[in-house]
Amino acid sequence: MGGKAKDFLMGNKAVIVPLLILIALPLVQIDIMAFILNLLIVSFMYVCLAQSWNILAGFCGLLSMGHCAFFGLGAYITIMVLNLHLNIVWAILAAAAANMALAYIVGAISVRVKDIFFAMVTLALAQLLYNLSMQWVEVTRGPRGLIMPQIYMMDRQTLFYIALAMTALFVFAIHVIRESRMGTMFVALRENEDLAKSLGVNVAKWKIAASVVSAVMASLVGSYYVLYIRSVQPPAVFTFNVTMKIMIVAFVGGKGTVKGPLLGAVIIILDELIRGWLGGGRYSGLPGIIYGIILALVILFLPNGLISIFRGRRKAA
Amino acid sequence: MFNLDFPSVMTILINGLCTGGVYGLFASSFTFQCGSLNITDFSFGSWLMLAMYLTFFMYTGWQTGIVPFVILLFLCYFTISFLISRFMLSKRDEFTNMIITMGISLIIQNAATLLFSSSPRSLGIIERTISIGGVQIMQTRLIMLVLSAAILIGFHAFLKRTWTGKTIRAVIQRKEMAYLIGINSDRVKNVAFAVSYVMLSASGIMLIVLFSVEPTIGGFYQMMSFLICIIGGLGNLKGAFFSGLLVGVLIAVLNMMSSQFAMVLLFLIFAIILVVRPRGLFALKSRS
Amino acid sequence: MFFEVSGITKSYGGLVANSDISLEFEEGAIVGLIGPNGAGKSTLFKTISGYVVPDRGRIAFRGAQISGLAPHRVCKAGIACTFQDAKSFPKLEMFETILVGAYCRHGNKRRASARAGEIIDFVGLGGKESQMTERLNMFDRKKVELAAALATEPELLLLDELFAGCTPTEVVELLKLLKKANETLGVTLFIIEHVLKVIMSACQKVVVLDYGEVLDIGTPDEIVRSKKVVAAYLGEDYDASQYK
Repeated sequence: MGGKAKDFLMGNKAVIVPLLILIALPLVQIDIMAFILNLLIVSFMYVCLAQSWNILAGFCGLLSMGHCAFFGLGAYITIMVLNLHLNIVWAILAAAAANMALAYIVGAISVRVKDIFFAMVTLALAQLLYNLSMQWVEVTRGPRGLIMPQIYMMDRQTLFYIALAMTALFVFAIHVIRESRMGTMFVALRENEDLAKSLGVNVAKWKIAASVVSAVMASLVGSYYVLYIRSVQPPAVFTFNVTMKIMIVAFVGGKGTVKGPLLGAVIIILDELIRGWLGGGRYSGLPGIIYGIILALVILFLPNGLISIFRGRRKAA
Repeated sequence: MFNLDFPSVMTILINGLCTGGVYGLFASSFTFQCGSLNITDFSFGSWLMLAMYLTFFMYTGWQTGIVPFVILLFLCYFTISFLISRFMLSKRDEFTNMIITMGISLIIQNAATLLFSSSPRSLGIIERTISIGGVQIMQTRLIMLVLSAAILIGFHAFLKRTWTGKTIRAVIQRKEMAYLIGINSDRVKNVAFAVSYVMLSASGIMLIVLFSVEPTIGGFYQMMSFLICIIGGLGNLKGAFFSGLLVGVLIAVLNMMSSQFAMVLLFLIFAIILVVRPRGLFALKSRS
Repeated sequence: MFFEVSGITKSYGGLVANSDISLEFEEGAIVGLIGPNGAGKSTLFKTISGYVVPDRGRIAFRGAQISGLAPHRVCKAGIACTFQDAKSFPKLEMFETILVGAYCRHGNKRRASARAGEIIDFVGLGGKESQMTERLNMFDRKKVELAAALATEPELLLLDELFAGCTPTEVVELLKLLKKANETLGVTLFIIEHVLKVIMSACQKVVVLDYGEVLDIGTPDEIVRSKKVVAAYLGEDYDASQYK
């Protein structure tokens, strides 16, 4: 593992300097540092979610349009367990276990139901969870949502480092998965399921594996979301807007690549910045318009995502 | 069990059916885009929302009169969607189209928030009811059902009888072949896309008569059109209309059974149908 | 018996694709399967490789029943196949395509990669490992499909019209490759082919299908002399000597 991590860093020397800057960043004492850290934390969360989506959709070719279901379920289970005043670790594990169960079902469905039809099933599942969280007031308190007990509060610096570590771990994990047998099986399923079958690939096994890995990753982000935001409401985690943002990060960065979602974070930072400057008051809505325009322009001119800029340069050299 | 006598049950079912007619109309328009033109349009719900808003303001503020307004709205939707299809969607792959329409959806939704505020608005029409043997039928809803069916039949006739409709069908079936016999496939696709938007705006006008509108409502209609269109069999216009009716009735029944979990049950049923019959209840036989 | 098909029947609606087909052959053989279009050749291959579940009948491989198994299990059991419509992984590097096959027997990446490397050398695709499959020419893509199938280390390989669309020189090269696989790797070959030259020069045994039924089984020489085969398939006035 250590050797692999070293190889990965050596193979991607460009990562080292930004990584060191990020590690040192919270030590700088300036007024807007809190704002910067929050901005980075939000984009880290979306990068991680996009990486998780990337496993299913980018590698395995299973277009999940209900990815917020994994994320939201993770967040809800985490906060429920925390409200029982158990250790955080238990909360995270319980959330991951619940997601594994859901992912097993989704994976099993994906063997039978393909393409756009699979997308619809995941969409329906996410909507089901949204309505459940809104209506099952006895457990979820409905639209008011749940609040994390005070004792689990963490300061912003710690949260930042956790987010940074999680992102680094996810990127590295995705890299390892892509290089491993699992990654090869995933992309083979995406490219041609019939041929993969004839070469001895157990379709059901690997699709369920992809679903479970992806769901556990999203679940971890969900748990982190609870620690960071300290509360959960249905619209914040279970709506299609969340899924859409995840997909946008992956697409804008470059779908099906390891580094793409990292670049896609740019779009989230942009979104948060515009909202920070223009949001609220009588201009609510304006940030969303600008964001939408930028998104459409990026995709119109760089259909393969931001990563294609770097690829293009490498080829020219 | 529910303490309901026969006429009240019938009342609920029939009014559900009538609402379902409007669902069926916009789902048909969506299934035409998604199944026949291969454009997965994520801005569909937002355009529907916008049409609802415009109709709302026509009623309450502008006083233009219904006929000039409808004609103007149809023209606007036709032109705008033609331009979107021509300059943004055509000749791109499915995924790119998805993201572009998502961007358009964001723009419309946020523009609505900016211009119309995020509070819900409704026309608040008090519906007159016709009573037949104790069964109360809401008049407006009945008119909506009839209108939806009429528009769909009209669209069907347009595809079957007119020259433009025939070329559209030719392009849908064999794009390259149509090109070879001298049909400009891309332009025909753009026109077809624009026609589907006229149907969309018509359903927007009807929806505001029945329901309230807010900027985020587009997401709900987007979801409903997706699911109804899949259940009806992708690309099957009639199937989409009938599953729209089905969903209207289903929602009414579920609401009657448990208003708390009606939507949960609805999406559970959607998921189960999709798993058991992945190609939908009325799948086209030609697609294998 | 190494491989045995007995009484396989498959119909689609009213159309009978395979009717009571029985055949068998020994390990190490090269067997041809011929017949007019629509005779049920591809259906038989798909049934053997697990893509089609037969209505009736039994397929046994080394004594164990394989009919009804899922395709990947048939592959694990030692039967690989290539498809009539030359399938590929368009956006994968050529090496990874073959690696997918190699993972069938080796879970460990290092060993699977080594195996994939050997196979690439075997089929003579060395130097093109990092090219996308979609960028390769048709002939190389055929070789990639063949190599991926060989990488699963099959004992029996089903080839569905591998030679279709090849130039005569390419046919000779592929044929040489197949004979080498048969001799050095010990792979038994079962070939559907329209290019009769291939069948006549390579196969020890030929099975003829017509209207979903076995018309005749024999050596190439026997087949070209068989009256009913000549009548049904090759035409009344066929001169066998030109393919000797």
